[in-house]
Amino acid sequence: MQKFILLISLALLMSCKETIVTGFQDKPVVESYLYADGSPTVKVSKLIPFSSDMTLSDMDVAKLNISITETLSGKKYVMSSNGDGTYQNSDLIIASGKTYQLAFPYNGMDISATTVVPEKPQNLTLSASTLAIAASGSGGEMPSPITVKWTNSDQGYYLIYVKNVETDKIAIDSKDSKAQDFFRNTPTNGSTYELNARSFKYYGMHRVILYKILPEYVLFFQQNSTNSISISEIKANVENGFGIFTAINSVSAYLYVGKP
Amino acid sequence: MMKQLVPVVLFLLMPLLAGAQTVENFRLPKNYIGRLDEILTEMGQDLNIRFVYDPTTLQKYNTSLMTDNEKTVAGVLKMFTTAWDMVTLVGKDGFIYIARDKEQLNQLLQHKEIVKEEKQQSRKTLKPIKRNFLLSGEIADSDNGERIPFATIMVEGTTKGVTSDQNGHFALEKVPADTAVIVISYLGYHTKKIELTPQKENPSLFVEMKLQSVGITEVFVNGRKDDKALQQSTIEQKIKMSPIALKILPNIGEKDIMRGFQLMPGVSASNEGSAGMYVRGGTPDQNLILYDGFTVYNVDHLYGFYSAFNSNAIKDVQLHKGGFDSKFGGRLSSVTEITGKDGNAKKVSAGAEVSLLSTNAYVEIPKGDKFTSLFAFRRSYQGYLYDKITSLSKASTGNSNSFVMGRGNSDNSSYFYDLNGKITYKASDKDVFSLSIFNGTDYLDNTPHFGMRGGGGAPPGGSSLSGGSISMSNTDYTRYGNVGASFKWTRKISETLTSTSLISFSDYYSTRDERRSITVDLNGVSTIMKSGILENNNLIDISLKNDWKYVYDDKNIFEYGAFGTYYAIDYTYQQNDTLTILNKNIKAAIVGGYVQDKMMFFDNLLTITPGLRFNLFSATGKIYPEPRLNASYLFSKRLTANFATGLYNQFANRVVREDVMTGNRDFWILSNGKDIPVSSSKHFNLGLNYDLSDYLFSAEGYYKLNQNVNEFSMRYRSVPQPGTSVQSTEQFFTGNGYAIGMELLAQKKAGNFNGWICYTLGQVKNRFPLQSSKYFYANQDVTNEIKMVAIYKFGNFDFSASWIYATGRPYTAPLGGYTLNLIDGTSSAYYSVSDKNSYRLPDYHRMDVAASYRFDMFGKKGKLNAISLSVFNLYNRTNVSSKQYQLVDDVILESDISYLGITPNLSISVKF
Repeated sequence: MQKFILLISLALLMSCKETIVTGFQDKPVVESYLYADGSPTVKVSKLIPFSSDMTLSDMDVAKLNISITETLSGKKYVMSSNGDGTYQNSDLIIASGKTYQLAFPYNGMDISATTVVPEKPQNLTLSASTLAIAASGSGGEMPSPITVKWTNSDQGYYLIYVKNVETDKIAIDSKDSKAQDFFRNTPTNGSTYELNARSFKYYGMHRVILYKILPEYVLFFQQNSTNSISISEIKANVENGFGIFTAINSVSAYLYVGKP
Repeated sequence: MMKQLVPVVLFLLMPLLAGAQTVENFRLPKNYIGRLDEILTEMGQDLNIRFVYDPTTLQKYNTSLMTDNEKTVAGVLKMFTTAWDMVTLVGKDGFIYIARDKEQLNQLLQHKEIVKEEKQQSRKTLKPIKRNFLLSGEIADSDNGERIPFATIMVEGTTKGVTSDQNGHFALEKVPADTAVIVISYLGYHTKKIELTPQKENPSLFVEMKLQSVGITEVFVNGRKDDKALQQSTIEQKIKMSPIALKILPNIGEKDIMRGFQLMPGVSASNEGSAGMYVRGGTPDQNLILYDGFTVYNVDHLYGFYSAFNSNAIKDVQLHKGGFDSKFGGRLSSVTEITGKDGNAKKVSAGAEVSLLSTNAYVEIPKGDKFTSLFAFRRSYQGYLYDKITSLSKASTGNSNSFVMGRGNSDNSSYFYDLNGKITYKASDKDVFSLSIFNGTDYLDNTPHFGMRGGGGAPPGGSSLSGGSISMSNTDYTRYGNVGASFKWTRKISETLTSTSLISFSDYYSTRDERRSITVDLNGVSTIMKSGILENNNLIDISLKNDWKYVYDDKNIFEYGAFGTYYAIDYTYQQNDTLTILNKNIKAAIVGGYVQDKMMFFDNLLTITPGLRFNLFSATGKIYPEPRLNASYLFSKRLTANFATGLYNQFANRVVREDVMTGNRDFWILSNGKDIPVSSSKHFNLGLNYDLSDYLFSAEGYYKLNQNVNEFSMRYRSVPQPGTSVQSTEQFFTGNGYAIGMELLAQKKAGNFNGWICYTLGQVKNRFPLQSSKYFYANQDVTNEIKMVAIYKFGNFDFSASWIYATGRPYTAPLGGYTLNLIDGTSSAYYSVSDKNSYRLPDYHRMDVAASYRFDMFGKKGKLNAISLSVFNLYNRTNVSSKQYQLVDDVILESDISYLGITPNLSISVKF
């Protein structure tokens, strides 16, 4: 029996061994959206280390040698620093259907990412151009939702973003004049979406933007757990780094929200 | 750490070290007057202690033993020595020996199963009429007529023996002589000896066994009282459980068969959030659970804190820890075989239990001598215990998605219930039909009401509420459960050939609807529209089985059969209303057969059971052969070695979706041979047992090599190709792994003080090549686990304590974090994470204690009613289940999510 207890005690002591984990590397975080027909901005920042044992390199994110290459022609655009970790080059105009590659060295690694600019969304229609909503507290039925439709022949992902464009905004609920003047859905690979009257906070003209986004970007809209059982890392398209370098194309329509 | 452990270790070792000396301190509950042997019979019943003596010596005396004079058992023993010059001894086994002199005392000690000298002599003079004959019979409970499965039937003084089948039937070939003594034992019952009478025709035996908790009627010990709740087999890697004896163990409010097993070696105990069993590094879905023949796919009640099995409806449970027979298949790790009660065959009886968690009632109704039935129902109520566990689970909710809101104030009806029913019709001596049904369901409603109390659901939306502008259409509920039924026909074709035909149905359902359509001004953000999760999983299993058992001779027992299962599994997982992550709809069938021969050699010292099982799986069109081999060898009466190996395949997998949102984190899915391959495991088990009359020492080792184990992960998503939807193939990882371990057990099996201490050293590692070429610790990996259980009986009181220690489980931590601005102007936090499971949570330990008092009510004797007080996590250890992270102002904050703290519970059970 004594031997048995001894064995167990030994095992207990063995279990007190700490697990030493290494693996933290100073990799950059990239944030760059290439809007079709626009000039790109690239933002680079550093990871926030979890503990003080994890040290960052002395790389300065404002002094990086960043370029974007249009792969078909091989033309390379060097991005100029704004001094705050953001970079831009107004010579580069993003064009539909083209492939762009981001590249820069960082902490001894080659950081790169590639994206293909999607085509403009096709055949965006709204089921009505106006929506009548009674002022909050005045009673009345909620109107039927507005159906947004578009063509989605390739099962692509779309994001709908609705923003009130009035300068002087009149809140639907007078007690709630600080509400956000925009809303959006989460990415869908369908070809229809309903704008519910409840989502609108203000009267007036609204711009309905239909973004075509790429699967690499959709990942950032999914459930993102923060518990150790399920905490996860999003590996999008930035090699040796984090974040996103993705192209976006869009079309818009307008919807007027008024009183009945 | 060690200093803290020492007193606990000593306390729990008490039964092992101290024996049963405290029996002497038992106070006499009343005065006794009469013949000495009758007095001892009565006293034994009252105090639940055992006297060993020769009745012919004691029945000569008449006396009185008074509470005022003798006071305690020690006083009684003193009287034996002073008044009649007898010799007494309190044995380490808890028995009290009384003899006329030292010589007789030695005889008593050497032959605990005392038989009167005269009778022994008379038996010696008996001449057998038959030799090497077939003995068959049935074993039943003497009180309710319930047939006893898996009882051991041995010929005394030999190694010849068999176990009874599920109907309590047994056939023992080549019994040496019809003067032999047959010893029948079963967990929770008094061991019974049958002295055979020589006669030309041996009628089939009908043996009635007495439940130990009812009290001892035969003080004159005819063998051993087998009163353990759990017993490890010495010839197989199997644990047997007596649900009746389970009530003496500590619990969290309900006596629970799954929690009971977790106190034994090889079954992990540190996962409070899963009633499913982690057996030898396996996951709960790798454990086949058969309830009266049908497969149960969900065992969790209330986030896994309780199992779905009502122990009042269960007669017997056997856990095969590995290397199981060819009869079982379809799972990689282990088998839990549950036999439901048939119901009282002698009279109508009923019982009820109330605890701080649930109410529980059952009724047993026989009709004539052919029908028996049992119905049991249990339902939780939202009392202190339910709320405590629910709030714990809510606290563990973690999600950084800015579209998902907090849980708000839910004021909803959440509950679980289970229903068990069984009807048995004994059509003839040869045919038994039984219909068993089971339904266990949980409904957890978390729909937030945001100040709107009452009403059953979300507001219709659109209107402005006081305290903020909220308009929404919310649902947030989880409903899951299992309904199953089986119809079984057992036919005893002859005493040596029996067949069992079974048709069964099982439906596992799980819906998690956490969809929101909200527009709400919360912290200045009103970007919320449709979001959330809709997860739906439905598994249907329709099975046919036909099993045969043929006792060919005393050296060969054949078991063979055929089976077929039709599966239909649907699984859809939608995020954010329209983003369908997974959509699986698989229908498939498995057909197959098995054969095994249990062969005995060298006068039954060596048993070898080779077997072969094969499965034809329609989804892949392949045949999966599974060779199996079990062996055991008796080096001596006390020392046994066992070995088992085999190949095991699993076709239906429960995939854990790593998300702690609302507790329902897993779904069942069928292998398709492509992205979800058929998993397989090879087992190698070796065990050594040293079995003394009062103690059992056991050492077992195992090695399992697993192939094609699956994991569903939201992590390391590869980049989907533009223009295609997110494919489920990218969400599954397939790899290989292994589990290796060693289990040690020291158990004191008998006496008023009994219990055990066990230790498991284990390692489980997996490797998913798509993630990394390195092996990582599986989520269920626990290096060291120690469990100690002490049970002490004092009169009508039962006291018990258990202590569990386990190395903290591995987890993944963030290395860094970052914030990304999304195109709508909002931002979200994301993380870079460590190598998978490269950190360890703090070690887990806790102590539970329980005390119960048995008493008589309604004029019925037998102490069938009990009031129990149980304290879970006595010293309020904060055990960490996981860690939660939050990125705030360029700092990643870490907080611990804890398991249950100190939780007392009171329960009352009565039997009518």
